[in-house]
Amino acid sequence: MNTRVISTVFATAVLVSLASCGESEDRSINSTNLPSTKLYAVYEIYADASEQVFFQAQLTADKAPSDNRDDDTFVRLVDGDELWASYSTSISNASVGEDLFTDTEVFADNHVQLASGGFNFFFFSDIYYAENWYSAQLEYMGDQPYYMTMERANGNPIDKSFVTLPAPFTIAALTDTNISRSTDALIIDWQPVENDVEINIEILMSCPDGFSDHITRKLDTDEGSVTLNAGDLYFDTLTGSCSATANIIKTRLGTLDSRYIGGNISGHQHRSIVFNTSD
Amino acid sequence: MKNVFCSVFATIGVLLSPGLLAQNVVLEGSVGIAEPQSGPYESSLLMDGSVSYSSSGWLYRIGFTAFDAFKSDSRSNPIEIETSGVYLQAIKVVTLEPFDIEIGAGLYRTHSEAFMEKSPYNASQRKIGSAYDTNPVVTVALVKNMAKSFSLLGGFKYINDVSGSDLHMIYAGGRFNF
Repeated sequence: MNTRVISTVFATAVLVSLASCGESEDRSINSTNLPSTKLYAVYEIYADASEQVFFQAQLTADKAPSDNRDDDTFVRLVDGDELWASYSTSISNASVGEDLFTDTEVFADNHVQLASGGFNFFFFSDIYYAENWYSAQLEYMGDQPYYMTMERANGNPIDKSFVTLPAPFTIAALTDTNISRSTDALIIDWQPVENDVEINIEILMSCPDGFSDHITRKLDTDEGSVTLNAGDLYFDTLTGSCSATANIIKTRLGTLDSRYIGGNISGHQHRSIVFNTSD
Repeated sequence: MKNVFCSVFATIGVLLSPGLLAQNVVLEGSVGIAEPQSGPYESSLLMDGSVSYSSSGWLYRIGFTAFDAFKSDSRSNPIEIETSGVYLQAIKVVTLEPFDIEIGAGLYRTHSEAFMEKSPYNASQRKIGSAYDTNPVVTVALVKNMAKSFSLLGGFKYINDVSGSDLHMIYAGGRFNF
């Protein structure tokens, strides 16, 4: 066979192999002309003891984000497409009365547009912070539902996604704020107890020598308490006196507008307590 | 609102017609500061222009006021309310040398629009409301004749309940008498 032909075939085979090798990369596309029925939406709403409510959102095209984030297509809102967070009523249904000087302040307290990027420090979040996401903040207003509205340039808002946050709660003071990681059990209590929420707990321990570690627990129902047995906090990398923070997050799933291809909206109430650990 | 403006300008045109200019027509312009009584809004500047007909110790006035936006900048997402209005007034002139004191009452027709900044990171605005109002107005002014046809003036104006807030104004300006 002609040597030149063989070389060409071989070179082509190598190029094709190289093109198909390696990881696929995430990419972002503009939302222009992308129908809502092709959008997968993840909306997360967090409240904490600061009496602020934080909103995060991320949109992907055509499907849910993959576990390893391969081949995901993230959506960038452009050309009049906007995300709005609201208290009590979707912004698409909200109105100001004729008393503008008195009613507009209430309106502005209840609605905010999400901006690109922003905070990225939430526990148990499904947001993939390496790609396009959106965030905003409002003051905590009360126990009415919070809405996430996607306003489209075509004038048809996707406005039926909402969730009622878990109620504010208080963690009881620990009977002993100095816990032995190897010999002491740890019981954390809180009030009030609430139905239809799940509980995620994360305990972060950080030592002066720079070593740190954490444990997590999940409870499917809220019984107002979590117990860690003696030794559950033990890690052989942690020595001496180490500070610890227990984060308790109550989570309730809400109702996502059915016009999306899929996704979820979740409300979270976060509290924390600080204590000390020793060997 | 367009019809109101057309009426105003038509009236001004009639008043400025050569026949009536031979009578007691007063052209007035002023600037001032307006402060809303309700809400977290800062005071704003105003410009006012009017035409009046003078007869037997009275002024019969039609005018227009434009306000700079009332702003609440202390918020993370500021709100602005833009207001303008036309008014009709009857004003009693009392002469207390060397000044004239003018006390007036009438009706103000205002149009207001409210805009909200979308977020702390997006300065573009969203219109969130509008309103038309017709409300009573009272004025007190001090006028000093400087020349045969020219006077300086200063005064206070109060408009009741403009889109949820009373407006208090102080103003100063000049007047041409024909």
